[in-house]
Amino acid sequence: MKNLLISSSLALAISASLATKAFAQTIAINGGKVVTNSDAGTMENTSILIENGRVRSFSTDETLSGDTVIDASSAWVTPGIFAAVSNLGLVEVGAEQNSNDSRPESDNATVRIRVADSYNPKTSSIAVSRAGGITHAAVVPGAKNDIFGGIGMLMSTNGSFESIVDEEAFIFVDYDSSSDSTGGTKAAAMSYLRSALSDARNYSTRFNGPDDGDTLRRADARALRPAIQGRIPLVVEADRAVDIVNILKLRDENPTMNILILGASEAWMVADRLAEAQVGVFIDPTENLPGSFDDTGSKLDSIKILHDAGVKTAVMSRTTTGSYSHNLRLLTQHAGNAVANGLSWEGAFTSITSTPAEMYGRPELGKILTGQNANLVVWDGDPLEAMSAPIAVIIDGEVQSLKSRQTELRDRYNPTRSDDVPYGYPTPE
Amino acid sequence: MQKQTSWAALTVSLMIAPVLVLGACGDKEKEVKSSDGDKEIAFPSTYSPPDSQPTLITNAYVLDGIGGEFENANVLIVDGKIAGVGADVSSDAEGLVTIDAQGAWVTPGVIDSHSHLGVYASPSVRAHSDGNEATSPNTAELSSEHGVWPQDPGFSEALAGGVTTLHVLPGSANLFGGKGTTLRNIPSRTVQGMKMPGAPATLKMACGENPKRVYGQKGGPASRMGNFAHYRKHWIKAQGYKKKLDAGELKPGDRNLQLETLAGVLSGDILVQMHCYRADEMAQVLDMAKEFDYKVSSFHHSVEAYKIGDLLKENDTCSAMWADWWGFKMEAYDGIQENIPFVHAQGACALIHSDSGYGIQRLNQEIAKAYGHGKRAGIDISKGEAWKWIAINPAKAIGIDDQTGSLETGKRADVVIWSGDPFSTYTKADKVFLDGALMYDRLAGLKPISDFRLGQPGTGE
Repeated sequence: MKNLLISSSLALAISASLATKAFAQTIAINGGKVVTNSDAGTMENTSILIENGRVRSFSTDETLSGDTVIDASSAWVTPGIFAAVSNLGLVEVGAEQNSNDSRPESDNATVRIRVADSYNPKTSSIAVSRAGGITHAAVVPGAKNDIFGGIGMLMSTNGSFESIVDEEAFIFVDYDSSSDSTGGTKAAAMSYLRSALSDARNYSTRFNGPDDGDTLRRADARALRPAIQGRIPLVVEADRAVDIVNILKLRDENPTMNILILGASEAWMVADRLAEAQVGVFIDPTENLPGSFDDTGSKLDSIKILHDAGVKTAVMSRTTTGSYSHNLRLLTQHAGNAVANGLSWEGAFTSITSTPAEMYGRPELGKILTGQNANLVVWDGDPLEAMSAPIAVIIDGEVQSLKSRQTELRDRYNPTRSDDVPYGYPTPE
Repeated sequence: MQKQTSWAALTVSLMIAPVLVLGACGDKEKEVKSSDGDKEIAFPSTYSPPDSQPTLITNAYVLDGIGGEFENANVLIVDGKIAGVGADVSSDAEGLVTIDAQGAWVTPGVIDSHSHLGVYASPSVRAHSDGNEATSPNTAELSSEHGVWPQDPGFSEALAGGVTTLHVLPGSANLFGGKGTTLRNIPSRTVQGMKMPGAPATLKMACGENPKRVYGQKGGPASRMGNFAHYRKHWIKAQGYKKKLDAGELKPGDRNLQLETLAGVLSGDILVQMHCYRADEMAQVLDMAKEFDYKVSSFHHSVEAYKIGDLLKENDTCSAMWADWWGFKMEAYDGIQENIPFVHAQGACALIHSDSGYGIQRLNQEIAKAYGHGKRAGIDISKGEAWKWIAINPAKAIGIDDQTGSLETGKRADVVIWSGDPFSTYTKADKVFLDGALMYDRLAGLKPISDFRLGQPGTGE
């Protein structure tokens, strides 16, 4: 266990920062191993000064003072984790439909559905994810009977009503499940998708009324326009290698599009094509079982092969129950397993920080850069190690609470607890 | 969008009626007498330990699975059994293979007491959904061994994670789901070839949300009240059956497999493995066990076990848990990352389980997470102590602790040599021995490949 000596002012700072936007202050993080994900590289024994929410400076072998002081002398300081694929804020309890907005139950959802309108920043898994080092996430609108899930968003995990970073950040297409939803074959799904893209591309000339599209209604074609123009990514869930090849062909027909592949189990087979097309992938590096006949080629070194070929890779987690929402904190362990299977530490760590941030067009997130908002985590060890955990999380320059329902339950039932408060009553503050 | 990996937890809604029943294959079922001479065992184990050589692993950092931790120790394997652990252990056996571990960590083979490998095999196509006979709340008459497909590619991946023994259970759709099967993780054409000789029979039972959801519209139970009423109704019937059985009053043709299983629980021969999440529900199950005078060997999932560690200790009931799964359904809402260490610290038998074809591949990392969170919460135990969660405690929960689960002399030589500290994410199993035979060698490329993988584009690694 590493020591974290937080100055006595930290408790006050936390409560103050939660109550108000207490910005006119400084935070000093002293003496950690700092991973910046930038040209500044990784620095030992380095202190960071945060002023008015922004990273002001790095200094080596120097103990800084500030309104809040965090002793990170034997700790790691890194950019916050950016979850490339999540359902954060959409699910309170997975199996309870009324508390689960991760995908629609009916077939009315199409491109124009905005996941931001389902988002609840008070969902308990946000606090849990934050305590696990996640500072930002892309929230994916799931699809059911239409291959389009809708418009995805980017968020921070600070739990506030202002935590949405970008309400309309990407469009999601579930091509994997398309055979169930759009006619029963991949060919039918591809025909539907191609036609929908045509409606969007020809939006300004094709529509005189709401039903003039070949496939999409007017509002949906309009919603798809930013993706066809390449202003936001089109995130396509696909695993089978040939499906990825066909999606790359679709991109060639619509060269302005910025396509990202989610899933990508067999992407290693077409790594060179992905690299050449500059199409990035979101992939779970622990997948090695043939889940279906779409991914009989899953293997543990996929991410290394893709990375070595020059494909932008971001780590996602989909091999554990609840890993899009409740257990998003497993991303660090997943990235660690990518290292165990040959990827460099830097390759793995950027896959859960700066790379997904770049893929979504927010390169400043996922790095510690002077002059930029401070989004970082102080860990009690190597963040990719199973035994490590955050000891401080800073989002947009504010020290965050690490409390959650889980820590409250932990503290209530901790067998080492020695107070004599009767069962069921809260411990006095 | 997510891959289904937790079958017991989530997939009870997958109820696919069998459309074809193929004729039985030509094998003649043999009935043999078990060692105690008075009981017939169907589908007997044909497992025989693979050939092994006397092996001395030297210069190892040993966790013995029962709490011990030894630096610079040797582990001696003779005739497939552990023949000694310690700095002075040596051998002049003919043909002795000596492996210098060079300080590497050596542990007993990993045991998973909750797997659905084989019964929900990869690929998870409909035809492979053989883990839940969701046609009646009581299917105590069936056995998971009849659903296991030995060619599930997951077995080999689990072996690469150090898993030498696994307990395959039916799912949790039913109150009485059927018998579990303990398997040795060895390539085999038949299930019988994997069945662990001498492993006691077990019975999967389930609490809470799953049974009442599955049967709510199909005649019940539709509530937790109904769950308990059904359990008790069947235990009462089983008491009657057992009485007849014990008195020799069963006539030919009266044999009832369902009641025979329940009677086996009442007589203590069959170990109850009970899927149960909530603390209050587990407490009521323990009282029901007292009412009918049987024992719950282990709760499974037990996301709230940390709330009742004292009761678990008092009843000598183990608790098989995940490191950190929570929130996927209401009864999993109170999951905490300290569950395993808190149960351990209260003196009860705590263990990790996977319930997942992925989790089973890295149970060492799963206990590492639990260990780290426990330390931060003030549970200060050694790594050797924590290794019990993956070794002797799961062995105890399924009744095979006399055979494996530790590196004690005389036990099966199920041994893993790790590439580093197995509490690290970066560490992998380098060599895995089953009964003293080297079954997996990462660096040498020795790894079984199931029939299914042949000619496919990937082989896992």
